[in-house]
Amino acid sequence: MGDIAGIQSMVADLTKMVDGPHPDLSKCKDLVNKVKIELVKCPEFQPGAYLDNSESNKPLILARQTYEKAAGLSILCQDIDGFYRNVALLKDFYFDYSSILPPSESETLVIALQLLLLLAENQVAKFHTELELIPEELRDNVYVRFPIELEQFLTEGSYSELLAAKDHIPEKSFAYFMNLLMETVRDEVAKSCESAFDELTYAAAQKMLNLDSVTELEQYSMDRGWILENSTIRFVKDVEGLKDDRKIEKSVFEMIDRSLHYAVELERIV
Amino acid sequence: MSASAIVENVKENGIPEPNGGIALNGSNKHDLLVAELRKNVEVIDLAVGTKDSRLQSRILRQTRIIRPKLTSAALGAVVKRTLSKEESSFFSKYLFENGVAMEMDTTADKKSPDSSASMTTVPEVSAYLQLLCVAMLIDNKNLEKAVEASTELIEFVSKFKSRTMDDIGSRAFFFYARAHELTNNLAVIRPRLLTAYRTSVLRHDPTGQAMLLNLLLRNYIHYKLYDQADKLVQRTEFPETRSNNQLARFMYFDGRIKAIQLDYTDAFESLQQALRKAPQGTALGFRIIVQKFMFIVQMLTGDIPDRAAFRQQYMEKALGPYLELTKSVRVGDLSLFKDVVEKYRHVFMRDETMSLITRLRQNVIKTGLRKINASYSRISLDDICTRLGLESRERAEGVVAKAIRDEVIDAVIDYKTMSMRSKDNVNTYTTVEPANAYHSRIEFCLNIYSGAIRAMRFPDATEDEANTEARRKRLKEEQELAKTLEEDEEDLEDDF
Repeated sequence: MGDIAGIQSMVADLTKMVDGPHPDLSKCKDLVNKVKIELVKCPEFQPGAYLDNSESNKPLILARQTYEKAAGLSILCQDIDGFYRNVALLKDFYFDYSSILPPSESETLVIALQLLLLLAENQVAKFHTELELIPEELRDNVYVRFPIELEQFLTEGSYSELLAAKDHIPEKSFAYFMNLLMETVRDEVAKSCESAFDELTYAAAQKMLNLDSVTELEQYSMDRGWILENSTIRFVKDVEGLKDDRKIEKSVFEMIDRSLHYAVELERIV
Repeated sequence: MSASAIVENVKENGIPEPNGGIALNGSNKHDLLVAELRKNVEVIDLAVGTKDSRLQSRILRQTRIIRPKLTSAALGAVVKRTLSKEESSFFSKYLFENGVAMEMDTTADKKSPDSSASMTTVPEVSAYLQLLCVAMLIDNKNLEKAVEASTELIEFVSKFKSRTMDDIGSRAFFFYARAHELTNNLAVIRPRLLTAYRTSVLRHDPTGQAMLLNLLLRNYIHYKLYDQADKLVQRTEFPETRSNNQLARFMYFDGRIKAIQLDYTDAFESLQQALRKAPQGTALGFRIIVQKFMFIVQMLTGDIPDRAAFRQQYMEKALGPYLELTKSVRVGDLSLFKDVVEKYRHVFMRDETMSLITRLRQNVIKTGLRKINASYSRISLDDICTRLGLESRERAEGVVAKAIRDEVIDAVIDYKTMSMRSKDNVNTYTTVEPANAYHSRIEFCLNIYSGAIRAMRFPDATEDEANTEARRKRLKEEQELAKTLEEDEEDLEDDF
């Protein structure tokens, strides 16, 4: 049997620690693990448990709270895998148990954070799969709307709006993922610039890429193999002649492949 | 004359002549129906005896035609004649006559002289009649009972291992899922469907596999669990031998999953297949919904659907909102697009196309941009800004840059003059583009050809063709089969 009162006080401690200023991360982690072990002992978490009365709700709510805090903690520890794990556990509570549990206050926050992380990792397909799960009425929520809007900016190419959004995060826990997102966006901008511009001045490039100093810009340009001259960046386009040769070779082989394929099929028909 | 009175009438007079004097219009219909059902029962009996799955599926295909005509009186009469008392316990629970459960005392039915002969029936016959009974409960909106009855039916069907039960079994699961869906209780049957799917794979039962896969996909998509649905599709294989209708369903679900995951080209192909495989005469609901998804997916790939597609027979009205949407995307007018979405919001929500439509926004911008690019060789970013209705020049700069990168337009941004300069159009015929287009068409034709070859059936080589009588009979059966296949519209209608 799990000790409900004991767990309750542990969860309260945990909440205080994680939400408080300068949490001791390793201590918090230990506590999370302890609570998880205690929770497993509750009969409600045994297979086939009957979960349909207010009594059995208590440990479930406590568990939900624990995982919510654990998710918050993993952001603080910058532990992305851990965050995904906790969110996966939480989804059971949010979606499958939605009929027997009262809604959680942090639900929208957790969902929004997850969406933001998917966006930051450029997993757009997964982002949309998760988005489908979110009921229409939740999509207007302050937290949830944020990543949805960001996604639109991203696919449109409105990078300037994205950069502006950085200063308007609705909650402080968004910050870490937002920084990750900024790096993704920078790479996106860089790729767009390569194809759209022949050359750019330092000042313009620095602004577009949202880099703090010229040295950073130079470093970034070197990494991408751009040519720097007289405070302008020149983007190396594919050198026409070289590429064309290879292209023709490829298309020739493709043509041969296709013709052979047709011949085989025709043989079969006649 | 009430239906029960007719039963009495029939009982007393035996089977009346089809056009006999005592038969009123109502009872005439009733007799015809009874006769039809009895014939079906016999055929199933025969089919099980000869292990001829095609014969059996022919009967099952007719279910759609029989269903609207079905009355509990007729079904009751047939049950009384064909099944023993133990076997008909199912019907005494679920067959209702004027709101009262029907008495199923077969021994009292002395007036049917041949009842003793067909007393020993194969379980398939019983399952078939139960299937009809469940269908009737659903049609009569007796959903609570339909849930119970269908559960009992699938339990009954699962008890048998013979291949001859496969067809009926798969249909039993269809009604089982349908009954649960109508009572808004789809989630609970998932484990059972999964177990049944596993069993059908182990038993090499393609009919059951196809049906159960589709039911599971439908189940997941109903709850928008696209992730699970996608995993299911990836880890399973849709059986090669299956009816076209099942394939059409599968393709539709597959298309929807792919569309959600932004894989528009594949999604479009799947949806197109679904539309092609769907029966052309009926299943209007199915075809309309597939068409709707197709329009949106097509627009998401950057194409504009053909105007003629909106004018198809019976579809014009249902597709109206989508036509307006397409128009707004075609002209590339953001504000018009917003208005249309707002105006038909409820329609799009109901069709579950809303989330895809919100993604169209960027395509509207792209088409607008493409038009600008085509008409101007050089235009300032500020002008683009006003034309597309964007808020700032920085934003326009990003949008244009992204479009160039996505190869929507072929242009360069000149940073010094803050303008977009179009590159010269290359002659398409100097590129590999025509060859590619030609290739995809050839590929399509070859696929159709090999598909047709694979779908051909050949008579068993071992069959003794010397016996002309048997041969003629077989040919006749095959003709009938071909006819029903043509008429085969099955129950695709049902879900939509």
